[in-house]
Amino acid sequence: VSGLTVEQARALRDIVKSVPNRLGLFRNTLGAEPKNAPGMGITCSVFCHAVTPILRSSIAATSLRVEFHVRLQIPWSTAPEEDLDPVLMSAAVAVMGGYAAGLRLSPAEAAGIDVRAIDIRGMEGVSMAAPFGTLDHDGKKYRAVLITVPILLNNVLTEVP
Amino acid sequence: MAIASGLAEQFFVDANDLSAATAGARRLSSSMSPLQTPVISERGMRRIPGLRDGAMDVDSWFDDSVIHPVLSTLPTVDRVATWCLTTALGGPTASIVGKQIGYDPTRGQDGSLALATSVLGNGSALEWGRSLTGGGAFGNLAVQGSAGSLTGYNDEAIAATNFGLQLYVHLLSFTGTSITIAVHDSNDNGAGDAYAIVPGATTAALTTPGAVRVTTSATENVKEWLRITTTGTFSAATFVAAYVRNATARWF
Repeated sequence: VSGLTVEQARALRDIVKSVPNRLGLFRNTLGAEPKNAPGMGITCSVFCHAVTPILRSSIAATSLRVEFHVRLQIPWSTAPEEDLDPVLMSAAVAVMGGYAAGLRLSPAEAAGIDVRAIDIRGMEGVSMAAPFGTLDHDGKKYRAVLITVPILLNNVLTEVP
Repeated sequence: MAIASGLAEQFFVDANDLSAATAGARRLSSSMSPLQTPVISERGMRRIPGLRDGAMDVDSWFDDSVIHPVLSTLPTVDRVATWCLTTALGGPTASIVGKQIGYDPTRGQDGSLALATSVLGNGSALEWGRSLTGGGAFGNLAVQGSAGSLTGYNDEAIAATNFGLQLYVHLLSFTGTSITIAVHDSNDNGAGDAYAIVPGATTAALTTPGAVRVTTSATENVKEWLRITTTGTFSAATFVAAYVRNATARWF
């Protein structure tokens, strides 16, 4: 594999999105960061955060760490307020579990993407962390959790002197 | 050439390109153990050359398609390994014939899985040479559809030498009857002095992928320009070749 085509990048995003989608926990699972404030229930959105070359590459090509963000958000006005974090926490762990259960994103192979692993433990940077916070979105307030999904892609940048 | 990095390297073991899953080299060593022969007429220790040796320690990432089928076999026969420091024609190479020692995985707590392997020389040291197949679209891999010559390389350091050369060849894939890979030399890239084979610097007629080290006579004249010329009948061949020019009398 040398480089990443638009089709491959889209396929990768779709595969990353399919994991929370399959859980059936969310009102909606989006493949982009929503512009407008979502409605009731937990909304899940998947979007790219960063692409970083990594040290653990081969001698002939550099591998990449592609970080996706999976954001779960629920309106702060949802009652009972005390249950917001437990619900989000459970959902976040379910999402993380979904990724752990498909470490190498095997459908990506069909798209010609060589996935080494989802970097759950942080071989090359932060682990699959999920910090919580509040989110001001389009004038509305949400409780949200931002799950980092780091994916290591083998030998993407072929080196030529 | 100015100071360069270690990016874009390649590593070959026998008939395999392991570059895509090789993490790095810990040691490319060509050593010699001198024999101490003190004499009463000198105040300092006197040493004469002893055994030469070579070692190549390589780290790789676990890869069940590239690395594992090759290195996990731990054969008792010799390996031929070549490390190419660049992908350019005439780029430096380190080659060794020896025994593979170990294929030892280390599983880190972060989930990484690395493997350490060594090749220790057998009968000859690790030798520094230059690639005669570099500079193409596939780095040091020459891809041929029929017999012919590759681009010549001018080893400008030395005009011509009289101490022979060693040739390392890795034939990675091959379809056809046979292929013979030889080094030809010329004084001027064939302009006035036509390329002709360096006597002895040729493989046998190869019929299957594999790797060999070939030595010429230790007094063979080797001209300035060198190139690879293949003969034989084949429809596809992929190979890597590196030569070691002996600047002084060969001693190993």
